[in-house]
Amino acid sequence: MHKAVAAALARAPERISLATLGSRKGVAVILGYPESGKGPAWVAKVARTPEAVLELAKEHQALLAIAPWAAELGIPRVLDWQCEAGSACLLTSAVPGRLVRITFRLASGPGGGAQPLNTALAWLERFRQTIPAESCGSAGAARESAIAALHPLQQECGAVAGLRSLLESAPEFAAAPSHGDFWYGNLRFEGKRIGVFDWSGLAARSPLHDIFKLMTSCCFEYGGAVKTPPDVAAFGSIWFSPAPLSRFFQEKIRTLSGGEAELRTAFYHFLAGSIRIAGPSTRGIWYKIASILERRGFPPPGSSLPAGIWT
Amino acid sequence: MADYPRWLEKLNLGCPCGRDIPLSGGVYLCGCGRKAGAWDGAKAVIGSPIPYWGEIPQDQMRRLLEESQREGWRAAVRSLLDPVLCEYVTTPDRAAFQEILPLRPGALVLDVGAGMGGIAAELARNYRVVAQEGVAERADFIALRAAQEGLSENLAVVNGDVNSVGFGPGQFDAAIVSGVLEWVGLFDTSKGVTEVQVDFLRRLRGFLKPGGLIYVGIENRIGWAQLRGVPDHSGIPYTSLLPRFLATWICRRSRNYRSSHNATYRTYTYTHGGFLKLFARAGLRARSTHISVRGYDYPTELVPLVQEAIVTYTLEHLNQPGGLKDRLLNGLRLALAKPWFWRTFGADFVFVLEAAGA
Repeated sequence: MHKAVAAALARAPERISLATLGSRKGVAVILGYPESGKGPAWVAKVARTPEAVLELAKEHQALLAIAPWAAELGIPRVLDWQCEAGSACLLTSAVPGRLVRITFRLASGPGGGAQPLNTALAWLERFRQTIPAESCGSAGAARESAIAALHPLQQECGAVAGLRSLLESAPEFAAAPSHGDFWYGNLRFEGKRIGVFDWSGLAARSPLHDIFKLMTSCCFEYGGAVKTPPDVAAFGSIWFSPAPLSRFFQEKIRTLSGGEAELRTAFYHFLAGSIRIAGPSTRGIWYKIASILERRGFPPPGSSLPAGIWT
Repeated sequence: MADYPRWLEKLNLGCPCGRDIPLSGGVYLCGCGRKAGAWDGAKAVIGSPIPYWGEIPQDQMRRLLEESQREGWRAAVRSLLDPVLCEYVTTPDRAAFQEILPLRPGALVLDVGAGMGGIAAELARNYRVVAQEGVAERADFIALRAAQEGLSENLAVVNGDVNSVGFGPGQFDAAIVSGVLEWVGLFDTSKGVTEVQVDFLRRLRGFLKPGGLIYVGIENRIGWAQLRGVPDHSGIPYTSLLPRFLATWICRRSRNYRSSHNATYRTYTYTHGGFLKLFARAGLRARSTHISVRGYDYPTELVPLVQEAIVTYTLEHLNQPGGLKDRLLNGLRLALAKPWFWRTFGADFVFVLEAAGA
């Protein structure tokens, strides 16, 4: 047990039960449940490898940068941070609420999935209006490092080279604060309020980035099954078809973008980011999506492409 | 001859004459003249090693040792073991329980029945660890692994039978018993299985400092995996669910019975209440109890028997709500997200035990 967790247990006025939820990128997640409480009182993330410590340090820095707005936006507060000799522990308050899987039927309109999606989009709007982009670092630096991170992946997938040159030559647009991994698994819903955690990807990016991430990561029901993202056919259908759900998504996107060029650049930055952070089991799917889009000249989302190319 | 970590010298074995035998120097001699064991250059050998048994046949194990010396243990494991076993031997996840174990940095930990050293090596990154292993080849593998990982300063290997290596009292901060308690009945057939298990736990309790802990990872006798027909330790499904005499009767007649040590059922697991009674007989009590959802071998997802924690875990692991079957299954899972249900039918238990008087 990390000593920061032991200290939190010692400080607690009542008995705390610990639950562990596995690890992500080498960072173990531990929840502390008080005997009398509803939901966990705190969340500890423990890193024990140099890479995981770096990842956790990024999240710590991000949480400090946005701490003044934490209560207003349902962002965890830092309770403790200890980093020494190859290990680190970040202890934060838990965000209240429950996980909600945002599910849509691909063949029909938005239906029941629209409500949680709209709540999440409204939160993003508030987030962008509340937090100054400067508190999230330089947009140019974030863009350059994202493009540079594609370089080693070119050997694995030829389309990545094309994607990289497209982004290098793209014009720059106004940046906004962006969570970086804004999918439904990182959100907790409590009525119309939501809490958001996992902040290691905070940076200044296009305001569309988090929206692309959220919409693409929803669950899509078709052919009698629910597809867990990323799914090649679902991806193609929501961004490059005239289906009612696609039109619903594309309308939401278009109200926020400054024009076709910005929409296209933000979309392919999102695609590049998805490739970069994908694990071994999903990277192949993103490569396939990138390869299909490269063959079509990297069209902007909303273009109508033949459905057959995605299968 | 490889050196042993200096802290090992502070540990004692207990001699039947009542004196302590320090684990220092090349030979462990008691003042009464009894030789308890010796340092063989890589490990402390105490008594006679037990006959070979393990996940792979003995000749494959020897090849693994040779190749580990030539190519490094990780490369050898990758080339000689199947992917499932390779993952089992190499993954740090097997020691993920350390996140709930309240130990100070540098604490002294005894890993009982350390196998291929997966848990011991990972713990040695944060604690001082004695890896006790009865099979000589496996003990050699742990020592090699520790040396190649640069962990020898924190990891000492003791090759000796789990029921006979007797450390002196009050020396360890914790003992790790992961997938071991159910097997100890096979290595001592002189008395009833429960008595062997109680004696084993009582001896471990004696090795602990005041406030010391025992971590136990083990199957639930009537867990949902057992109810689904996953083979029991006997190699035969459902034997844990049966009365012991019936399980014994079946094992005596089955060609699938996998123990070569004897012809009776001696790998007892218990229900939650049964474990608590067993621990109480050994003078121990559960400080915390978790269900290890991925099995005690991969204790990355540990859920305490607390309503809120069970509901949260269940909500995060529901099926995607597609067809009617998924919706019904999800509804059932949520309805059964109750401590009594998980305590009764949960897959594997993870207990952190302390002395009953603590």
